[in-house]
Amino acid sequence: MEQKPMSYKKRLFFFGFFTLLFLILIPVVLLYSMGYRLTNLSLSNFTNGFTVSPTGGAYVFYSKPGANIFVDDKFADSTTFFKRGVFIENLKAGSYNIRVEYPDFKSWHKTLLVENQHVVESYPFLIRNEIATTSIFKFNSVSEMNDGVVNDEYIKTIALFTVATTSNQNLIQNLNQLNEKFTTKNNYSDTNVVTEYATSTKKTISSLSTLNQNDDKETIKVLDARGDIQIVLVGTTTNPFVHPSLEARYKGSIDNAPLTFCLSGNLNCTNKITLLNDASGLETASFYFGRADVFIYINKSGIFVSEFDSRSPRNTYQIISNENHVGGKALDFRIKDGQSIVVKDGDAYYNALIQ
Amino acid sequence: MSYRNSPFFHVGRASELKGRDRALYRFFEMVPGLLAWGTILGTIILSRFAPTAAAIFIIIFDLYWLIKTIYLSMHLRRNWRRVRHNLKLNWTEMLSTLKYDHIYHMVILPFYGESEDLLSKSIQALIDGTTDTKKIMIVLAAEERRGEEAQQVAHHLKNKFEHLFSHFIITTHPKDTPGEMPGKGSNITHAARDAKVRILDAHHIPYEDVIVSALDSDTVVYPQYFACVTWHFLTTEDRFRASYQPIPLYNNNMWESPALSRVVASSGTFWQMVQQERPEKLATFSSHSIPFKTLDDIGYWQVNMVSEDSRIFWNAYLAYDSNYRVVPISYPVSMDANLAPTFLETLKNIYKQQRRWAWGSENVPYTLFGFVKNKAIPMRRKIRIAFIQLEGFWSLATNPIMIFLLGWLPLLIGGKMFNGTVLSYNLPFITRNLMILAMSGLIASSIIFISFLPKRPEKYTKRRHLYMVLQWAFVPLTIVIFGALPGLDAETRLMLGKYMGFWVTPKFRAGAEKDFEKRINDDQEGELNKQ
Repeated sequence: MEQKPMSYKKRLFFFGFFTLLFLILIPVVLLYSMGYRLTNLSLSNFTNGFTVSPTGGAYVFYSKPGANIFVDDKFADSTTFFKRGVFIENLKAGSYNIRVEYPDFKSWHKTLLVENQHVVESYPFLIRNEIATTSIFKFNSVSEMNDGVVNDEYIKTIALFTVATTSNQNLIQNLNQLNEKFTTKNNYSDTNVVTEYATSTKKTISSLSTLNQNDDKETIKVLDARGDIQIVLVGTTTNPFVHPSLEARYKGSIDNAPLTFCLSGNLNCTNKITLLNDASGLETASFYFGRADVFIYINKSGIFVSEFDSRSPRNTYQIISNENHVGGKALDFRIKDGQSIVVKDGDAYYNALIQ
Repeated sequence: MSYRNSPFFHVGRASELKGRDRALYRFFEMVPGLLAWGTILGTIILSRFAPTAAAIFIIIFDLYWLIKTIYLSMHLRRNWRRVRHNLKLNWTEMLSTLKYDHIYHMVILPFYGESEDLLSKSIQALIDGTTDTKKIMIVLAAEERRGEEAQQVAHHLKNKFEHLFSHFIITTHPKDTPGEMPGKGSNITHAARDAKVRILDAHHIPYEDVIVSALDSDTVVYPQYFACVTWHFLTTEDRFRASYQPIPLYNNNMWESPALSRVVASSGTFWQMVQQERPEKLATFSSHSIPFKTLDDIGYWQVNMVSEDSRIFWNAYLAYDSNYRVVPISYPVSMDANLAPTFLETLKNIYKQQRRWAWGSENVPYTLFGFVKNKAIPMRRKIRIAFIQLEGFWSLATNPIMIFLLGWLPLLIGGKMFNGTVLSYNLPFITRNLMILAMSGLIASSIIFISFLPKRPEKYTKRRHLYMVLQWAFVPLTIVIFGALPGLDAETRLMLGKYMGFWVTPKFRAGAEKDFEKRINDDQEGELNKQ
């Protein structure tokens, strides 16, 4: 026998049921989306009812998978290959100690103030427990030393530290002079190689040349990769009564200011934050490669990496100490190829792996 | 005065009217586009200036979509069971309890440049689909503009099949008839009128005894199709106040078609299946049947517009003061899925076909205007039908865009203050999860799809069966590109008064590349798709 379509009455029932379901789900899903959660919901309290309370959240972004995130010493979540940013929900308004741990790295801490219905963000910067260094020797082997064949990387490293301008022509001349001085396996007529080196040294070189002027004006240091954040040294390094300070300045619209320029919950943003209250003895500073919220600098104590984020504690790490360096000469560093740090310690050169 | 005798009954577009009527009809033409664009632009503006409100709207919309999907899936599954049941029934045997010997089927097969082979297969299926071909009259409807070639094809087919049917006539729709739009509607109307004189009147066959099936040229009926239609016709109360709608499957070339084409075609089938379970929302679509008496009474299909297949229903609905309905017979007919010699051409054809179907929104001004003019229709019905029509075309053009493209918009343009809220963090998760829940219904879709597939040709390996399941992953893509965009395109054209012409979907089956190329070249000369 022929089957009829579902009866109108039955369909009306289903329509009513789904309409009712829709109307019930609307407030439930909306309140959940806005951070409202059921509280006092336990078996013992159930008879007394429950309340719906607003909560906030914290967002922690760390670029490596496998980092563990703790909230007030309780494990909250881990980063994975597909989830580098972790959203921690259901936090009542208040202060929380966020800790990020990654194997063989120093743990990162930050006290974050969570507000209801808002998410506080953080972008941890972690460095290795032990800074791995690799010396850059003048000769690769005894036989090459006997033959007077100088290590190619050594030549390039010297070029990095001796060039005081970004001009390709000067860099070529410099490399050619070095080439004449040493016996090498390569010639440096390849402009592309030179250009690559010139580009990678540009920011640090320019910062050195300007910082040493020691005048009373604001000394423009370096721009980040997008060109909208500057690191600026304010004040003189020679006046003993007034300490110079290091500032970061945001050049764009205040509405689009990055998180580190905003005090809380993306509100109260400013276009200027102080990175170092006392920048006395600062020799050079630069953005840490790949980050617009981390900077690297040298002072009389050594080489340091620090966050822009001033929320307590501002994590600052000394990566090279000046106390035990070789030869008693000043430390210096260069960012090589935009992805690694080369340290000059007296006459010795080495690559420093901090992440 | 009955509405069917009014000057508005066969109006095609606003420009055919004058004065206030013209302005009102023009306004109704704009309504679907205004609603669609209003929703999309409103969401964009809201996302920029009131992102929290936009996010709330989007979440409510996601919920609505999820609930709607579940609700419609329920109807789909129910209809699936019904279709399978109906396919198993012996309709001829069921007819034996009724008096049906007097019933004739007039099958109108309009064609433009389709190959003889394709038409031959369609006619052969008519023979296979009935126990008594002598109750079937074939009207092969050619176009004069197609020239001698079409005449030759028609006469070859007549010579081959004429002796098997009660009547087999060839009609030739004259080209450049004033007041007509070249296309299927004008051709089948001419064919039906011609058949009325040459067959029915000439042989004194009562109009009441004839059921007309206007089939697309590629339509292959399933066995017992005519018995099924006859049974429904004879057992339906007030049978002349109804059209009889089968379910269009696109199985003729399903194995040869690319995945995107299969998914789009099957989505159309599923929609028709859902509608078959909600007859009060069903309008005629593509190949369908209608009593000749009714057809003659309402003046045949409109010749001045594109969507004649659905318009004939609205004509009847207004003519009979809303006492007209579609009887869902839940029995399939099979047609061609879009297929062209190259993948790119296939995609273009899918888009154009979907746009033509979405141009069915031209029925919105017709019905709304008709509701204003026809006072005999109860207001409640007017409101209900108006809502169904508007919601349908609004959903088509906006829902996929809202779900898959605009769901994240407040995050992108809502500004920093909004991006620091819990709501902004939850918006993508909620949207994604609701979408995943809704998409889980695709598993059921793939099962239903597989159950309707014809036997796998030997040249294809079992791996192709696997593709038939995996293809459903394309749905988020197809409902935006081949659902919402052509829908929006059509509604925008209607809103702006850039009226579309009839576009003949090229029919191509594997192994017929040369015929197809010739056809395409000829089509370019014909330019049927341009006004």
